[in-house]
Amino acid sequence: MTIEEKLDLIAETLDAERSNIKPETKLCTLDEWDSMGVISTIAMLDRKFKKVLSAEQIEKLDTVQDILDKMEE
Amino acid sequence: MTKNALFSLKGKKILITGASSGIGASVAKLASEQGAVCIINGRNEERLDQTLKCLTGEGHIAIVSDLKEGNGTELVKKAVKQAGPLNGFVHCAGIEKTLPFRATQISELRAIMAINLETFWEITQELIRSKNHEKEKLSVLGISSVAALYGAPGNTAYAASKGALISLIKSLAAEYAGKQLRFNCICPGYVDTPMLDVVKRLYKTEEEFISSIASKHPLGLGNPEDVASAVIYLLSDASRWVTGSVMTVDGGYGVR
Repeated sequence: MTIEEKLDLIAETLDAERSNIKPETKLCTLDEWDSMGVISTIAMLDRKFKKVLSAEQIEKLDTVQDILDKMEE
Repeated sequence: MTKNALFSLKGKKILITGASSGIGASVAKLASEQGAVCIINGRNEERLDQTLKCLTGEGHIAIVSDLKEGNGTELVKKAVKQAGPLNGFVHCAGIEKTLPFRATQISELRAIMAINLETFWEITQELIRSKNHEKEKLSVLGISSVAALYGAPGNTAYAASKGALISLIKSLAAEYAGKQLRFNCICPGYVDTPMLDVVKRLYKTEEEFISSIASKHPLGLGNPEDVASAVIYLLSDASRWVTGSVMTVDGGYGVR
């Protein structure tokens, strides 16, 4: 999966505008990064990448790049 | 009948699913204290055995089985074979999936419906056969949820399954009233069980959870024992004139 495809997937997961999703985007600046967005992201990483994040790992997610880093196949 | 005997379950044989933890384990403990013979079911042998060891009195039976399709019928057959015709069934087994609606897959809805609704259906269908229960002495209870009454963001599949359970129970109550078989439902608020830990994941901080969920219960969050007490009433002869009811046991969640 390319970086662009991964960014598409993040936008789709958060139901956010694709143009707002860039690696450097701070998650806290996105309206969609609410509790539902967090849970959706956790589910996406589990389903598509078999990554189960701990509570500490979730808390440390700061930017879109941090999510990209977890999306290793 | 004395007041104490009214709430007694002495000699009643009660099948309880989901008895290895949470509300199911509490129901089994309290029912046994009231004199019932409990036939407890759960998936995890070790944890079910722990519940069995906590029961008061003798003759209780633990049946380990995963409630997949077809296993509900088998569960009733095994229970009746070992204990004789039953007097009660409490369906405490249940699962949930905390996910936004947009991310919930249809397969996840089906998995939740299978345990929360279809297993209840299957067990009840076998149980109402005349050889499997004592004539005019059967009380069936479903554990629904306030999620079914008021909705639950992030738990749509769970809420839908619990709403369907209420509709099913009301219909069964109407259909079998002529045979004096009673069907009732309890809708607990948020209770301190392992399932609540999953719900807490929806909230970034403990403070957010408290303001969103806990503070909406004027009497505070409940314990499994709070729900078990209501179950005992609905299993006992004290509720002989009660069927098709939906009893909320929610610490005031519904009076917001």
